[in-house]
Amino acid sequence: MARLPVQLSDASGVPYYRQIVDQVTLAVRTGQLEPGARLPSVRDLAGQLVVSLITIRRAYADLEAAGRIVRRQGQGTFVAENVAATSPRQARLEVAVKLGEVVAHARRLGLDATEIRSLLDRSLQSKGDADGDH
Amino acid sequence: METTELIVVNGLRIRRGAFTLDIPNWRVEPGQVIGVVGPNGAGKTTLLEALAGLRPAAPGQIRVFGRNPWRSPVEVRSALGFMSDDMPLFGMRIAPMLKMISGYYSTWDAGLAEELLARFELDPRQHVDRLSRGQGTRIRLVTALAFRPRLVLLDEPAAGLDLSGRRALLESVLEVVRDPERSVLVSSHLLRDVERIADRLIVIHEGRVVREGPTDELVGEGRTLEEALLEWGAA
Repeated sequence: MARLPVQLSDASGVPYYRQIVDQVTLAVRTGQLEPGARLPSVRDLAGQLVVSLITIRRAYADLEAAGRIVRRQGQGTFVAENVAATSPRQARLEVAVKLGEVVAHARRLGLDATEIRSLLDRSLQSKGDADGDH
Repeated sequence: METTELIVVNGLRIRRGAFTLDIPNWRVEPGQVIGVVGPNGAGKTTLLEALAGLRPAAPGQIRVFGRNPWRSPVEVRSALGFMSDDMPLFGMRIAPMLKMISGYYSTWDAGLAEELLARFELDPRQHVDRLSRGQGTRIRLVTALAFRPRLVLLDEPAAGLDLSGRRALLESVLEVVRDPERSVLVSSHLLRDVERIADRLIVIHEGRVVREGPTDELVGEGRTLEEALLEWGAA
């Protein structure tokens, strides 16, 4: 069974169930958790992460509602088969769309290309918590 | 379907001088961690002691495993682990003390006792009389857990524990509820810890139940249990 790549932080102020949802979602999207992989039971994961059972139930319910995981009666909880890992091509496309939005917004605010580029460079160099690289 | 509550409280009323503990209706299902919270003198210890059969309650007010814990202490206590900070210990080394206590419980698990000693960083050769306060708390937890009781009642178990002790305590509590037949009641002032591991809360103030229900529904999002208690006037 997959040990979930989840690290809970007290400092972030983000509720534990949300942290679990976000980190599992990321692990599924990056292929760190493969489609069909079996997830720990609610009680096992609560023990592993040292949080209440309701926290895990809530996280699993949200993940199931989002189609990331499936629960099969009497068998357990699995990473959904139809959630393919994001391909590099798809990832580039997604990021290009996001960057397009940011650039358009920056231009509306009156920034020029040099300023936008330098901001992008700075953001690439900083270890923000938005980089998803835990 | 038949219900299998571990605890059923019905119209519990315990008087202690000017103080009255009043719990109209409360049930504890198996497979849960329940946080018992409220300020000093709220009645948390009185409640836990009554559940453990250490205090009398009128017939029918408390049922643990379907029995009256005051009238059937042996049957109830054989499957109920109770821990409080002032519980007496035997003045001997840890290993022989545990061996002696194990004789009282048919379900005593020597392997689990050893695991718990390691988790709580206790040396079985140490003499109980020479333990620090925190170590005393740890050994009391070991004795309350090592016979795999169906119901564990922990009264302020974190008092005197440092960070690693608290972590070991939280892990041990969650280990109990890996078994969906077993539950843990824990009273504590360490609200962050309670909020982290408790599935349900019972909030008591001046002997009365202020709130009772699932932790997430009671506390809600964007606030802490401490803030919630302040709002309910039970801090």
